[in-house]
Amino acid sequence: MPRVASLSQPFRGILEFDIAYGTLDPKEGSHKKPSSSVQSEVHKNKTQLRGSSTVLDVKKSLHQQKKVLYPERQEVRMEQKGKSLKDSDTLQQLGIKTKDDRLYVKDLGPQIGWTTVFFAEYAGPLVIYLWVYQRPWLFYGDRAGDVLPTSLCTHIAAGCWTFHYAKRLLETQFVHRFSHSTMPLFNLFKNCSYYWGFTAYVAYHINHPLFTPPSTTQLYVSLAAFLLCEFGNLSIHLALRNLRPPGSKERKIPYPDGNPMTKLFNAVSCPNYTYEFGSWLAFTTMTQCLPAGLFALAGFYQMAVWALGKHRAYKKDFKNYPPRKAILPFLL
Amino acid sequence: MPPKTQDVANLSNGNIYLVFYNVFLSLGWLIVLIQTLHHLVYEAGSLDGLWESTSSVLKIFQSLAILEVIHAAVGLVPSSVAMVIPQVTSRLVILWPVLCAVNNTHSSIGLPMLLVAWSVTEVIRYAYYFLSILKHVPSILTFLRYTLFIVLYPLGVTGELLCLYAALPTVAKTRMYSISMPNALNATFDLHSTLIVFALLYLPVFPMLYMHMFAQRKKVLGKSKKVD
Repeated sequence: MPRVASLSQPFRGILEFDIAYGTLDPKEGSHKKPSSSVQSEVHKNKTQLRGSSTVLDVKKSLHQQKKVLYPERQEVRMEQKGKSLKDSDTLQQLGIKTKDDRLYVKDLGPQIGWTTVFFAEYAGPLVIYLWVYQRPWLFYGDRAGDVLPTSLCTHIAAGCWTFHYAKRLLETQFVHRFSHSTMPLFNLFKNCSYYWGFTAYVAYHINHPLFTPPSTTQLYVSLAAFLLCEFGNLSIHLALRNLRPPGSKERKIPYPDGNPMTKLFNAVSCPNYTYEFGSWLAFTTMTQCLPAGLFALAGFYQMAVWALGKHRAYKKDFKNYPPRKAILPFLL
Repeated sequence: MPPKTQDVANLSNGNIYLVFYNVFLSLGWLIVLIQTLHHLVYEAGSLDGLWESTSSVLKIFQSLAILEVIHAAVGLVPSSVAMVIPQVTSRLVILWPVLCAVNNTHSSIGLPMLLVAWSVTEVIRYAYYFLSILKHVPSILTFLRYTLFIVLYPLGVTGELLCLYAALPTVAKTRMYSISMPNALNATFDLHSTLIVFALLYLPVFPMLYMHMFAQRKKVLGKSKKVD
């Protein structure tokens, strides 16, 4: 019968996992085991997989054998270093029939739900910024609040920051559709360090008693640009959501819809990232604050990496992909 | 066993440059090592003048390591920029704002520790690299590269942290290389806090890198055992 070989920790070497390949449906496959021994295996392993069983069924069976390996923690492959198989693929489609056929299982490590991650990642910056906005003594020492009054720019910056992360939390809840339900736990620690750390760094400078705001013109022009880019980013998120109706697995090229902000699709593959960078650039000029600029740059670097990957994937999947750049119109 | 003429003749221009680079750095660090040992032996372990004996050559050859970021960035070597930058940065942070800027680090016991750890490691590492390009690394060198780190890495880290700690009071008092608000870019830089954060980073990073070296050791030395 087919065996499932496992790689990486916590399993050392190959985990032999006998899948009882049942004979219940005489139309299935070419296995030659007589029903009596198969029945006894079924009894021993409490599993029963057939040609019509899916990869998800395999994951669930393995989970029953190894409690720690819940299905989201598994990645099943045909080759040891091969691509991940889809949960919906059936054993028959994959050609798993005889006892010499193998599947490989990789342990992805402890997983955590996407929504949990996003909530932690975005609620943190919201809370931390608003806390530093109060000029706590921990950052500024006593009496920092009454040394110099908070400038209008600082108030507006707090408003923008709050707006941005509140928008992200709402989008996570109501707009985005995720293709995976979980991510590795380590990512939570890494992502939160990035978001929370940068928030404290940027907030410390903008809310500092000795913060020097730029001219009123610079402030208001930048604020307008910020709001425009936030709206643009939301428009793209909505367009992407409508691109793939729930349940469908169809991949489509995104095009502009009725919203004029989506026209940016004609120039770049990932206009959501373009607008996001635009927001942070505007926030930087609005506050004329180097730490905010560093935050914008760091974000841009990461989003550019993602955009280039996404752009490459689009070009590979669609022969007729329109001439666009990845993230910066005409440039990148 | 010298490399075959054909192997050498077939080297790309990039690799010829790397051979010269690695030989040059290996020799430079050998000088630092000899200067360090010479001082420690002839001054019977006294630290007076150790920095003066070694700093000129040390500054040159440690600073040259910046080139390795470029080598990785242009793909001349297989290392990723993300791995090289933290390593080179950490050395330069210890060298310039700690050792060069603050005099009382020169009488710290950390100084000879890091000098020995750094110079022995680098002599071996650069020699290993240039011989790898020529495809003739003696097994004793491979053994040393993947074994000495077990002692040298903790030795070096301890030396670095001791010197950093010795520098902190002076940095705090003089506020050297630091910028305060108000200024046009609404930015600050506090060397004292930065050094403390830098030291705290050793806590998660050192075990990770140390364990990574052990894994590498198992892979490289384990493999050569099988071949024999």
